Amino acid sequence: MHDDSRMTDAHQFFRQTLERYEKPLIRYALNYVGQVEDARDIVQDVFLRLSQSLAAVEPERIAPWLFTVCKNRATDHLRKHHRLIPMETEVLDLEESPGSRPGDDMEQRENVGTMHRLLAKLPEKQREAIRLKFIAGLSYKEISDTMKTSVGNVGYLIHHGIQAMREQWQTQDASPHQLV
Amino acid sequence: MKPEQLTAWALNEATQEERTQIEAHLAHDAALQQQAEELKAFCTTLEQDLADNKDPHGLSSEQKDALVRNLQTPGKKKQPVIIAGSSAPRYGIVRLAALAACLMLGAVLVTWNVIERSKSPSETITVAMGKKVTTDGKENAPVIVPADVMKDSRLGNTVAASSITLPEYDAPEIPQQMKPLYPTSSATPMLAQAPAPSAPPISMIAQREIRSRAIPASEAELATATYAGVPVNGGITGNTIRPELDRLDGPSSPLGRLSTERYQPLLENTFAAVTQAPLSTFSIDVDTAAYANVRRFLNQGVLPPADAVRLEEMINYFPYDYEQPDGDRPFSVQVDVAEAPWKPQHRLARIAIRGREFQRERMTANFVFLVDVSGSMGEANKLPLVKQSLHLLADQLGENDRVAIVTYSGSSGLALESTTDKAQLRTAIDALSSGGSTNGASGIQLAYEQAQKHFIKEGINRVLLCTDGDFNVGISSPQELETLIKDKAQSGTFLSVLGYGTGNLQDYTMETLANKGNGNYAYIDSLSEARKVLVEQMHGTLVTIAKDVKIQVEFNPAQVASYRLIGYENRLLAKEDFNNDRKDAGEIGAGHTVTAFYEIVPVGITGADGRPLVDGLKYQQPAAPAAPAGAVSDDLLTVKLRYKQPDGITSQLIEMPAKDTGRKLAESAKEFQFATSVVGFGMLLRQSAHAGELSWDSIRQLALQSKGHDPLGYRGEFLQLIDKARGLTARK
Repeated sequence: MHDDSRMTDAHQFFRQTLERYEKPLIRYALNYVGQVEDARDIVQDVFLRLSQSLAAVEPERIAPWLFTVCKNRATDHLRKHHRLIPMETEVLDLEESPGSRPGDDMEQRENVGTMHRLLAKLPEKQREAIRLKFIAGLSYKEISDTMKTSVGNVGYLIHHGIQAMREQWQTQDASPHQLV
Repeated sequence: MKPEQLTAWALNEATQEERTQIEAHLAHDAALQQQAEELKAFCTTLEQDLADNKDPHGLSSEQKDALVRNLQTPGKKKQPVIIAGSSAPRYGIVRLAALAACLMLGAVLVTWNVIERSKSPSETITVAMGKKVTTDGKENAPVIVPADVMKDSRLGNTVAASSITLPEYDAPEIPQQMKPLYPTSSATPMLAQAPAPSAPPISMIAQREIRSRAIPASEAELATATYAGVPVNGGITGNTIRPELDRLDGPSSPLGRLSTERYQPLLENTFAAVTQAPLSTFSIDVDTAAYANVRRFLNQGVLPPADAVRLEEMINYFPYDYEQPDGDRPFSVQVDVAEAPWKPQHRLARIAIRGREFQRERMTANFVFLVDVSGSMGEANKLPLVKQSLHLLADQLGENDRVAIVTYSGSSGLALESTTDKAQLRTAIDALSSGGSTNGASGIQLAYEQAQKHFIKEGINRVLLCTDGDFNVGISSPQELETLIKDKAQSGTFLSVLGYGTGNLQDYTMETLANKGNGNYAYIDSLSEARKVLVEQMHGTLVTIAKDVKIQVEFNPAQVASYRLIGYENRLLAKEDFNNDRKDAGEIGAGHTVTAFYEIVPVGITGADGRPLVDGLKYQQPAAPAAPAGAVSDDLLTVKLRYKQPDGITSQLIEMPAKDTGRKLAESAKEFQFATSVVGFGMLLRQSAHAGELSWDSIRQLALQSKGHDPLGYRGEFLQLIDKARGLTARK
């Protein structure tokens, strides 16, 4: 069905992708689910899916693909554990979602950094843009593909996310970091 | 420079052009430099803290090896060893089973893959092809069920679905597949290829789980899937009031498709002290799009974003039974005052305007339909609805009215040369199809050319732009486009914008263009909305009776401590603009009603706890309540209104003082009360800081008791929307 050289290319691409994105994906998933083991499982699943649809994924769109699937797996995971009501996966800009949501666990966990706690307080879209930028390390373009919004809007979300976090951070007495 | 640009720059995401620009700024601005440094430093901290590279978690080596081994043997019989993470106790067995299944059916999948790809070559993403399932409690002998079968099962095509088991613990693992639905016939043969020896009979699907999946898990799935109006059951909300909307929208999710919708941030007006700002000036607005858009959100089971809730458009969606104008005036103006339901100590002043009905024969019309036929318009609630809308409008046309149709997508073309022949028009409407286009030129210029060529002096000359938000009309610079539209409006050809569909709605742009074109912007989410805009209120939509209508209110400091204009946030004018006839403002159509509310804090009131209600007044000069009695009017306020005739250049002035007689809300006119309930609804949806004592129940009660005559059912529908919004907020 496939000739050998194509298979080899595909394998190489797969290995490179694994090498390049394994850790960012786990960090990203971890921000959703909170447990390293769960995050690993999710990411393994993501790569399993990738191996099944290697031929269908455009190499230059690999990052949006991976993080989209990863997010879906992570939300499924949370949904399975009743930690997320379905509506909230797409909570709209500027909308604060009271009640249980993935970030709550994060806020309560003690050993995460201040920034994680601040991040958890952002509205979902901003939070997602910041996750993809700083945790996953994607470019604005890749984020715009992943979030299916314009690059301009990504810039807007990230800007406002950063501003909000910065304000909170500066007002926090217990901040362990100092601005340079 | 926008602040976002500096952030983008700090993150190395600015374009070359932006970089140059920003760095030029930085070189000359020490404060900005400081700001940029701090921003960069914060971003570094953020990155270090969030990405935490000191102890990065990776997959375990076993997991990685397993993945690679799995990859090397796709479709081979070799048993892989997949290592689940340390959560193995929870997932291990299922996972092993599932993966074993993957391999066993690998060959099938590869075939499947190839076939699927050949069917839909344009697909960009295809995620997992299969669904992990195991048989009930038996040996690990799972099968992969092609995702299409799963989807088909939702359609009730039970050929395959009736014989599949979805174990409880694995149920949510629904295939995430991004492709159109195919008929069962394409899926069944695939099943038949499953290796029968190892696969035991597949049994019952868990219907409940499947149904719960009607809200699809994957937004990626939604974003790329094209459902093409297939009447899939199990929609989002079980909507009953708008059957045609259900049909048109099909299962398209309200959630996944919002991604490129854009709303201009809207900051609610705050209280202004009369001593500081005795005048409040704004342009009227007869748009109604925000209400229809909010309705779409609610009907799809989502609360609308606050920025989409423009209060004035909510209020003005409803026709009100205001008094008819007398004499020669194009409209009547009425000012009433009663208590504010959310803060009984506050007063609510309503300015109610009603445009003259068109009694005589309507003027002859010269319309040009400028229709977006780009690929994205192919969905059921877009171009097909546009065509239905245009047919509705065609029904309204007289024998002398003429219509031309211009289409645009990548390029633009004249689909119908301006004609008075209605049969020809209908044929042309029917022939509209998405993706179709002819050559060159700019769509909008072509449309204006047609309008100009057949310009009817003393008639209605109007371009109607029908689009889902793609403004590829031939002019790429927004300023240039706005200028063109404004120029044409000045020469007598107005522009109306009809927004269609979801997911790509460029709300702000549409509203802006319509404003520049002296037109209106309506959002058409259903055939009944098309009927409202183009039939029932056709005159209002298409016949302008006064233009550049501005309102200026002067508050009497002896009576009013502070005030707040409700809504009209993006219609505010400077006080000088009122008398400046060159300053553009809103239009009013025949029979239109326009309503504006001010929330007023009377002088000298305090809250129950003795504190002043509005802290903002703390440092202001106190209003002079003890001024000499003779000099002080007991008027609450005076409304001044300026307007021009549709073809006029100089404005005329209407003045109307109003007193507060201390009316309770219950004593006010029913129409006052109903409009108040709409205000309350919007304030709750916006989570307004001023919502005070409002609750869904109180506004529902208010709307119900003031519903009055509702021949077209708009108000009944409003009551249902209140219930939906209440349900959605309660769930959160």
